[in-house]
Amino acid sequence: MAKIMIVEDDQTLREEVKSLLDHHGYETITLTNFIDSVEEILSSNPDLVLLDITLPTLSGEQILKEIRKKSDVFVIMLTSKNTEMDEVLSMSYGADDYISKPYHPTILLLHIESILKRREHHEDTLKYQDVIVNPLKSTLERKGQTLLLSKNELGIFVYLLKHVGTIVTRDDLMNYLWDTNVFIDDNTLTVNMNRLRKKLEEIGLENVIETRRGQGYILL
Amino acid sequence: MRTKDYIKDKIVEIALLLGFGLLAGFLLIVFQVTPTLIYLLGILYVLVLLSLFTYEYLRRTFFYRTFLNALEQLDKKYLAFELMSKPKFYDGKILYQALYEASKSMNEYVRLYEKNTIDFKEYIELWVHEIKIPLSTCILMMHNHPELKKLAPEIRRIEEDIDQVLYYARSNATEKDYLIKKTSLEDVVNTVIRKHKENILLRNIQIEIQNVDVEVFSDAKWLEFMLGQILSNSIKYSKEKDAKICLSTINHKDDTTLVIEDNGIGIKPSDLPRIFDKSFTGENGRIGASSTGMGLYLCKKLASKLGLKIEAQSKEGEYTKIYIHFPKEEFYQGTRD
Repeated sequence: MAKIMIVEDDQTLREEVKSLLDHHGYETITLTNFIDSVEEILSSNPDLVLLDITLPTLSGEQILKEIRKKSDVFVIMLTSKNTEMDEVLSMSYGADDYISKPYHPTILLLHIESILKRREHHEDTLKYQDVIVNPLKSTLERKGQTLLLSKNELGIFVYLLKHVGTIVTRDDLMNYLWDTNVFIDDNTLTVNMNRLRKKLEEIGLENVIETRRGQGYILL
Repeated sequence: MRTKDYIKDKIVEIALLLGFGLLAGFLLIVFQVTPTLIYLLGILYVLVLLSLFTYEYLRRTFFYRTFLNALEQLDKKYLAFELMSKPKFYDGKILYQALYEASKSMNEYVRLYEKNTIDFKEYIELWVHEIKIPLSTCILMMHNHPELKKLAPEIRRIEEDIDQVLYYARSNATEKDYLIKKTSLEDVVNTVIRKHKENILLRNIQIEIQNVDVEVFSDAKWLEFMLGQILSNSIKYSKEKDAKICLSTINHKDDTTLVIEDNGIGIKPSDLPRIFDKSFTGENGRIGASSTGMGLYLCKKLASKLGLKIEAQSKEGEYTKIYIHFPKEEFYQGTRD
């Protein structure tokens, strides 16, 4: 489980971010004392730091500079300053990513996920039963058979897989797809879902995706 | 300064001097001075007068001509004083001094207003940064507590209005606060669509994206804002059935053109030329959906700052197309040289 350090001086916002990340299976630590920020961040040894820019005592940029002298930990800058210049500056100080406020939860989660993935990029595969999912190639492999999926179908499958065993509403699914730049409408989702089911049957996975009337879909 | 006007201006002096000359001539005749001497004195007197007036005329003409020519070429006429060389004649010196005072006092005023504008803009930027913190919290709360979900459209509106304030302040700023660099149009388009996904999904609008995988020169954040305004109009004025928004690019020799086309209610031909005017809401603005007449005005203003051209085409009841022309790299290299 990845450990994420939240450095944000607004208490309510900090708690909401913490609750969001806790809920999505991350271990979180929050910084409440901003006097020795750099030491505190480094000593708690996180996998990733969410760093606000406007902070008391040291600014986020200064903290980032100090961190970079000693550590290569992943840092995502969170800021309400949203000029191109701020972004370029942050990246030049060594930030791995930059998100401007108000950020939307799914976007934040996707950014965190993709940054953390860099750490384990060699094993960038997901698994479902005995099926290996390869997002980079957009394929599924089972018992030596390879199944090619379209971008939309892969998106649907990955999302269902992330929530395997629980019901996923059409709304949630659409939101996720749109956040990953798959802009499909309602009808297309139905069509793609049917195609995905047929394709899964080709490699012997029958009826793994069930429709729960009025609720959504579930990957068993 | 024309000779004729100069003479007209000096007519009293000329009349007086000639009068006195004639009087002196008359007196000389009365005292029976030799006619030859009278003629000679007469000619001499006229010569003196002529050279006196010519000298004065040339001195002034030279000063005023230089000044007026400089003024003509000046883009900002109020800077005229800076181009004035100090005249050598007395009344010119008075004028020079007076203009110096006036120009100094005007500069102080301009500086004061400039400072006020900058202060105001900085305050707006600060305020916007501050307000985004509780806004972020609200958005996270909605996600963490699904029962708050119905606040989403309202929060989205607040977010959009805040952006408008920010860019309004920026569009009026005199200093340059954008950064033009190579920007992926695809990234910008994707970000903007994602931002508006709730409303697009709510109205069941079909999105079509075609060959936007190109790089343009722009400030990504400004461009996101502009595209957001355009897209938000397309969504707001979409029809209920089979609504569709298509984003595509056309590659021209000198520029890359982004086309945002919708099959919405369109714009009346009489309104079309004015849609980029400030506070213009037109027929569509009165049909329900709230409209401030600021969105497209800001788009145009920001576009011209970034060196982009923006145009609209529409057929009432059928479609609206907005074109944004991005100059190609050579253009920027050309201006840099």
